[in-house]
Amino acid sequence: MAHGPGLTLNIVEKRFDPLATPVLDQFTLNIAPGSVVALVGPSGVGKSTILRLVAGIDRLFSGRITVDGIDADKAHPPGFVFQDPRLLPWLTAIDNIRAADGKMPQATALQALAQVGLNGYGDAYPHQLSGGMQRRLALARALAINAEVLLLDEPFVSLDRALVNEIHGLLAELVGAKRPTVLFISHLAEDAARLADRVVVLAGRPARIVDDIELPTSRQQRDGNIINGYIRRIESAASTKTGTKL
Amino acid sequence: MVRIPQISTPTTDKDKRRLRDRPGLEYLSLPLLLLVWQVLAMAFTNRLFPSPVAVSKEMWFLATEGRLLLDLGKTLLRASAAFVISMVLGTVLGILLGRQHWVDRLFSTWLLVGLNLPAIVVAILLYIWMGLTEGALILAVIINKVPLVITNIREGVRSFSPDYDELARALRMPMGRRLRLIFVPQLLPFVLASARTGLSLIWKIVLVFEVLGSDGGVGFRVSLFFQLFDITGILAYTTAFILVVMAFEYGVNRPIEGKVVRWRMDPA
Repeated sequence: MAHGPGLTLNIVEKRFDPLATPVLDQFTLNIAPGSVVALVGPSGVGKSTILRLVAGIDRLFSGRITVDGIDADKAHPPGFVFQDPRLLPWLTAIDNIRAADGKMPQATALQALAQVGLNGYGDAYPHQLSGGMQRRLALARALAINAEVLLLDEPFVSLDRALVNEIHGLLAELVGAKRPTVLFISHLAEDAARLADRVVVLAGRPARIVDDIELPTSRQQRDGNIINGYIRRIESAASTKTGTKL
Repeated sequence: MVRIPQISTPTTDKDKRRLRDRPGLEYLSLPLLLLVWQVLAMAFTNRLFPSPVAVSKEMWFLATEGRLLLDLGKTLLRASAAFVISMVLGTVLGILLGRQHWVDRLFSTWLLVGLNLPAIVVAILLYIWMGLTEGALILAVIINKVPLVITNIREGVRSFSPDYDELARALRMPMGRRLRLIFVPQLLPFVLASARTGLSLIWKIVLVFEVLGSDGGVGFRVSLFFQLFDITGILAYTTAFILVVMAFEYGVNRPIEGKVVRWRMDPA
């Protein structure tokens, strides 16, 4: 089965203030093709910065990020889901999805809408949708471009649990079907335990990888016990290695 | 059985909104104004305070027998030329000042001077330098209007959300699409606001400048009526002019605004 590309991050240095300690210094991370990696760690450690560098939103750093050997900013654009839905309020739902790719056919956008359960809301403006629906729309926009790399910056923050479970199911289904390479941030161990193949725990300034946990059981076979076991393991790693509770 | 009619009072926000947005209320505005005018005219019964009916008759006479349409056309042409040039120039410069901080700092005093320069002084100076020409009149209006457009547009550009720029970068939008999908929609409400205030200002300035020195136009004709104390003529010209402005507001400005900022409407 075809799968997403491998990601290689070799960040020599990333700093926001020339006088302050860099956020990232000699930071290296390799992500296997088609894997789902969760980045966890205390807030402000640099998780979002990493995602923004991979997405090419922020290009002010020294080092190299490659997607299957190609510089990330020259590779196919990733699907990116921000912490907030970041929809364009002047465009309808369908046009928000099509904004992701100028050549996207209407049918593809409609299919993406249906995929996230927003059938019939194509002509609605973002302000006419609830917060949860806006999140789903943002996810649909990221999925519609058929990206081989998905970057999700706390996509589940401030969502009710029912919706989170729904989106978990949607993502698990997508990952199973298309095998994109996924890098996501979550402050909840449960999100990582349900979705990830690998959990990278970050701490300190500059950020260091303090733990790297493989979750070997496939997503389909993870029952409540396995997920609870993973949650305990991730939480324990986070609290002992970073001193913070997830 | 006798049914007791119920009086509904707006209790919820939805009810209040329905009352506020009741269709047709704004159509009562003009008849109400005419009614007040008519009552005042009947109360004063003086040739210096003609009634709306007398003014309408005079307007019809001036349009069919006089030079009303010709004068209106002249003024509208001047106002349109000044408006289009001011908007284009002001928008370009406003974007430049909003995006480039050093340009903004360099020209901030110029802008302040432009905003506070009395319109009449500009007109007098240009009439002296360039003579009583069409170009001098239009240039004077532009000089008065451009600083206002620049200020509006600059503030608009400054208020652009960096979040949307990030989104554009994440989606790798090419410049053309970025302009169309991110830049222009954020700018348009400010352009429309500038257009609306600009238009009302330009009409007024053009008329004043026509009074000051011109060979025709609404302002020029009003100044002649003033010398003859012909209040009916003054009001006939003013009313005709206001009708044109209102036709533009309801026929052009509002429909465009309704389409462009539809996404800002309240949820149903």
